[in-house]
Order: sequence, then C-alpha cells, then structure tokens
Amino acid sequence: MKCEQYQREIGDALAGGEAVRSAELAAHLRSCRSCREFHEAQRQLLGAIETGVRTMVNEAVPASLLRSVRAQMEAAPVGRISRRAAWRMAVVTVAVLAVTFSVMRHRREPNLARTNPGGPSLPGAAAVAAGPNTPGTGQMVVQKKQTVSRKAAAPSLEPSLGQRMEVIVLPEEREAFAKFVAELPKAKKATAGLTRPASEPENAPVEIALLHIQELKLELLEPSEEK
Amino acid sequence: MRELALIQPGRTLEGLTAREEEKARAHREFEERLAECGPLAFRVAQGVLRNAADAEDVAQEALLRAYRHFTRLREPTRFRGWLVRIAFRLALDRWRVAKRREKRETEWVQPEQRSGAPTAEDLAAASEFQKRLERAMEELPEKFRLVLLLSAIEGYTLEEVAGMLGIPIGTVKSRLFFARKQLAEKLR
Repeated sequence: MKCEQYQREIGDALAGGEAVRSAELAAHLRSCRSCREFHEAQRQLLGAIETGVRTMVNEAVPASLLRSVRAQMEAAPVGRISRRAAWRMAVVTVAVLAVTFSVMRHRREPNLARTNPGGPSLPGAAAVAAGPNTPGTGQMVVQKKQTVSRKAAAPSLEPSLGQRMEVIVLPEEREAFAKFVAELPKAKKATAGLTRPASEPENAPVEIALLHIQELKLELLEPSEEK
Repeated sequence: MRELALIQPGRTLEGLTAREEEKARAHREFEERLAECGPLAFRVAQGVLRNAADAEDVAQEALLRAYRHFTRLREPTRFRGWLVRIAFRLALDRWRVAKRREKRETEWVQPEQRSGAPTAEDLAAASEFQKRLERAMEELPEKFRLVLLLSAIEGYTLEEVAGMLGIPIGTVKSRLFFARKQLAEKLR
C-alpha cells in the first residue's frame, strides 16, 4: 500500500475519534517518517478543531437569559392568545356577526307583514343585556340544552359592539337577538358570546374561539326588572 | 364593564377553570425544563452565530416559542430535541440575514471605510485559526453542523445527542465523522 492510502486511513481513524488500530498501519508508521509526521499533524489539527468548536459553544450563558425569558413567560402564559391576536380575532368575529345579522334581516323582511304586531314570546328565551348603565342587565349563557325555534318578527336590530368587547342588547331588541341566536344552529359554523361581569383584573384572559354550534338556549341568570 | 368571552356551547366557566389549571401545570413543567434547556438553546445559537448578544436573543426567542407551543408537544421527552431544532433554525436564519446585510454593506461602503482597526480585544478573541474554523463550519451541511455543535457542548454524550435528535447513535457518529473530515480537509 502507498503512503497516500495509509494517510487516508490515518485521517479516517482520527476523524472517527479512534486511535490507529490496524497492525499493518502501525507497522508502517514505525517505518515511515512522512506518515508519522502526517499522523501527528492530523492529530493536532483535529484536536484544534475539537477545542475550537468547544470554545465556540461553551461560552458562559448570560444570567439575563433565563430572567428575561421568565419575565416574558409571565406576560404571555402558555397557550394564551396574545392581545394583538385576540383583537384581530375579535374584529373578525364582529365582522362575521355583522354580516350574519344583515343577511338574516334581509331574508326575513317578507315575513314582517305576516307576524303578530305584539311579537310572540319565545319559550326558554330570555332577554340579553350587558352594559354598565343598562337597566335590567342580564347575562347570556349559551348552553347545549334546548333549541329555540319559533319564527317571529325581526325588529330593527343594531347591536352596539364597542371597542371594549361588549354585547349590548336593548330591551326592545332582546326578542330579535334571541331569535338570531335561535337561528344559529342552522348555520354550520357560527360564533356566540358569553357576557359576564369582569371580576378579574383588567389584564384577565380573553378567550376567543370559533365555534361549531349544535344547539343553543338562552338563560337569564340575573332576573331583569323589566321582564 | 362587562367582558365578552367567546366559548364553545355546552362549556361552562368550570371548564374554563380546568383549562386554566392545565395551563398552570404546563407552565410548571416548562419551568422545570427551563434551567437545563435555556443554556442548551443559547449554546446551539452561539455555535452558529458566535456572538453572545445575538445568541441570547435567539435563545430567548426559541424558548418563548417553545413555551407558547408547549402544550402541543405530544411527547415531553422530545422537548430538548425540539428546542434545539428551533434554536438552530432561528440562529441559521439570523446568520443568513446578517450575512446578506454584511454583503450589501461591503458592496456600498468605500474600501478605506470597510474595516475599522481591530481592537486589542478582537485580536485576542479571534485567532486566525478560529476564524478559518468558523468559515469552514459555515460551509458544513446543516445536519453535520448541528451534530458537531451538540456533541461539543459540555455534559452531553453522543447517546444523549442521538436521543435529542431522534436518530440512531450510528448516524450521530457518522455525521460527526464526516463533519470532522470535511473540516480537517478545509483547514489542512
């Protein structure tokens, strides 16, 4: 075997992290000065590479790393939607609701003339109102129990969805809103909301999700004086 | 002020509380891993970027990404490998951006302004060999480079590197072999 082949074997052995194990190569190294020098140079080179890479990756970790990660973890807990994303989703949700309202209103226009002017009462449906200054405020809870499915007139319905993420339904519009909710099961995908007093601090989580609604029921949790 | 929360029908506030508890548990589990894995993410990033400040930024971003998606991780035992890959990928992205910027600036800046006088600190820190090694490492295929960096991190055996990356130990050894061989050929 030529020196070139021995040197390739030396290179492979050292790159693989092994000492020269072949008896033939060991014998050649004893007799060939050039290959001995190559072996030594190669050993030093690989040693220097090892040391260089170790120096690169084993630098002291800055103490500020874990501190700042922990601080940001507190600000954005696991699995929570960021405020920005929450607002984006809220805007999309409001847009979807607005389109749904307008489409439903448009479809029901012909039915208005045939309906009872006093407006039918909806069994199982309750008024929904939320807002700090709205008398007779109540809470709307969407539950999977009963479907409200009576057809009724749809009076003018213009929900006020402000920037503070409130659902405000005026007493005279409650029936229409209840009817809207009753229609939701017919839609394959829709969104619905739950209003509740903000007992938590300002930065409490706001959970938003797209929903697949099957059955809905409205319940009044806080009795309204206006009922 | 009332808060609007959108929930799935049929779910109650108790359901939400259970979710909060799950999040708290995930938070605790992540916190347990943070002390060990934070330095690992930093070192991987440092191996690519060779700049402590940039590596810290990348490690921080990688850890926060891992934290945000922690509940989606089906096998918690794979966490280290997952984090290492995130950190490595982010570091490579940043390195590429820096390279492009450096190239642009070099093209526009006048020759006499191109390089400032190296400080004594620079001279001490970066030996000629180290610079050549860094350049040679940049040319290595990513999979070889990652194995080389991980195996050089103190406290990690080849078995652990294999477990981290989800590959057989034989593959780790062969990647390490080719990485060393290529580096030796470039630096000879």
